[in-house]
Amino acid sequence: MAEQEKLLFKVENVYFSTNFKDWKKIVLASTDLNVWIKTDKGWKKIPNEHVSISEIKDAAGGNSILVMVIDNTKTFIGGKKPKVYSLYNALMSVLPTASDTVGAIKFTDAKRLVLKALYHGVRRPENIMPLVKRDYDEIVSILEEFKREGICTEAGILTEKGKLIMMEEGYK
Amino acid sequence: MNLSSFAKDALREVGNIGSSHSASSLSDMLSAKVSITPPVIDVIAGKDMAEKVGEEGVIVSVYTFGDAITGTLLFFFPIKGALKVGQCIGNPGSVSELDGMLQEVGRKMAGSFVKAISDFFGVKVKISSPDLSAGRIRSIPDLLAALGVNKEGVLFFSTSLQDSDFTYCHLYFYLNEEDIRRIMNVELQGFEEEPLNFSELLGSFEKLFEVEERVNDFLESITVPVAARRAFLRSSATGVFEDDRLRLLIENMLMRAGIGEKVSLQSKAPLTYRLRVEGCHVCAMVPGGACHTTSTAVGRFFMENLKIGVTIREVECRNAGGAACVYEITLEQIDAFSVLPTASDIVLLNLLEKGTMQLQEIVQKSDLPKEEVNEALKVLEYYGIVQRAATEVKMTPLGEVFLTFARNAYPAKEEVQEDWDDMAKIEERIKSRKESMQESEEKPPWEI
Repeated sequence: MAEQEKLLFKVENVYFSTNFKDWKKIVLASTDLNVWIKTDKGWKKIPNEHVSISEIKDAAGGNSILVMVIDNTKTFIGGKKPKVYSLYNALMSVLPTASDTVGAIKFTDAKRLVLKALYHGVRRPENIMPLVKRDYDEIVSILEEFKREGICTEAGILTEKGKLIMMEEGYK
Repeated sequence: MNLSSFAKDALREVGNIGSSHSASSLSDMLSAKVSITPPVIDVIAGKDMAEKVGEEGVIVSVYTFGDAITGTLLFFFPIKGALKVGQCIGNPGSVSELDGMLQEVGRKMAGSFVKAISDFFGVKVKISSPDLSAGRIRSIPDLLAALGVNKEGVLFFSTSLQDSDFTYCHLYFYLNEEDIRRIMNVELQGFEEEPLNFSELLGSFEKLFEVEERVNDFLESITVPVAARRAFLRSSATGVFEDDRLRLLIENMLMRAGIGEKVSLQSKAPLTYRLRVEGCHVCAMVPGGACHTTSTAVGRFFMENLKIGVTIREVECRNAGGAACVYEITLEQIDAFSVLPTASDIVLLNLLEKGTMQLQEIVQKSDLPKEEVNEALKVLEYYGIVQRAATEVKMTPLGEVFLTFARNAYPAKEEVQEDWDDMAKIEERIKSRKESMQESEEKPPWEI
């Protein structure tokens, strides 16, 4: 570490993968300049500006996965939910985020909202717009995607697949 | 370095590392399950310690260690635990034989304790048994006095190694001021270039992790009925938000999770709330600040427990010189509208769908009490669903869309647990959840 580098925190017993299959147990340390990852081959240093946080997702078995982009490669850091959330919360103050909203955290998703509107019988983009408070173009684009993926019909009626997503994801 | 502020953290960190290894070592020797009680960090004097361990019949094993890291470790074997250990190891024929066996068990446990901290710090640590024969040691206060602990006591890390029925032994560990100074300056191995200093690392992430675990416990143990979510949204409009049960639960949960000393949630505008955290603990927990802990706790609660999407922005931070940490919470309208409507709202909107009406006419045609109509219209107006001018009421364009949505979204009757916000019961559920988790065998996360 360079002389002026300051350690912020260190996390043990988290898992690292770039393909979501091969997980390696690692130690991750964050400093004001770098993210350090220790594998069985020793420490690897990645400058903070080469790392960004994309999102955090919940996984089975009380685990969570932090999705980061390291040197343009999608990287997953997984572990027990509280540990991964702690890591996410601590890193958010240090690393740039891939979020479009500076300084804010969004616990929402436009697709989920449009799906909910369709589920409750609001199908025209101009009617969905005031309910979900999103741009007309964004809503049209999501509806097109839903039609392509067989989530709703041309008329905006949810298919069985669409209803299943509503139920499974607990959107209702 | 502020020694006192680090002393507890240092003791806890080192004690946790060592004691779990001592327990494993005892478990191996006895071929039996040994669990450890949650550690306690407290100032203890000789008399207090005698009370805690029950002086009569106790066999003591004492070790000190030195070199790069120094400290003192004591094992107290209550008579029942001592006999059980003796039986498991080799049926001693006399008290002195039992004492010899326990000294050997203590030496091995101390060895494991010291090896764990030696491995953690990457330094050599030697263990020895102090010569206490010179003094007249007839009691625990005598023993502590011989070890240099004054009458006021010192800060001890303590835990008990036990079976489900009884205690094998009590483990006490302390670091004096010089020990702490020394440990703080130990350089941790690991980084390829410049190593880390223990004092830099101490406790920062662990404290954050403890808060996050508490948050997670609450989120997994709280079930909020739809009726309570509806009351929360409607109380913002009717001016009774101060007494809303869900609001109080959110504040209470965040304080109990360790987010801050005082938390208050205020309604600012339709779908917009302000959360104020006074004495924020998390913004100073890691050197870079971790205020996102509050944002994610609130965001997860709304999304996971209330099914309402939110955007949270920190607008003021104590770390940046603010008086408190303040967050603005904006709710997703469609999610809020899913739980907002009552049967009365739908009756009123069905009438207003036909056109502008006088209040008197609405009351007459709806067949609802005037107060109920007034209260419903107050809520609908607050959320931009109807507009009122003097006694005239009309539905807005948003109201027309809302009605289509609300007719389908209005939830069926639900079973409501009246005590959903009873904090004592929530804490009980957390406790039993943790106990059941301990009983189930832990699997590596990626085998699940």
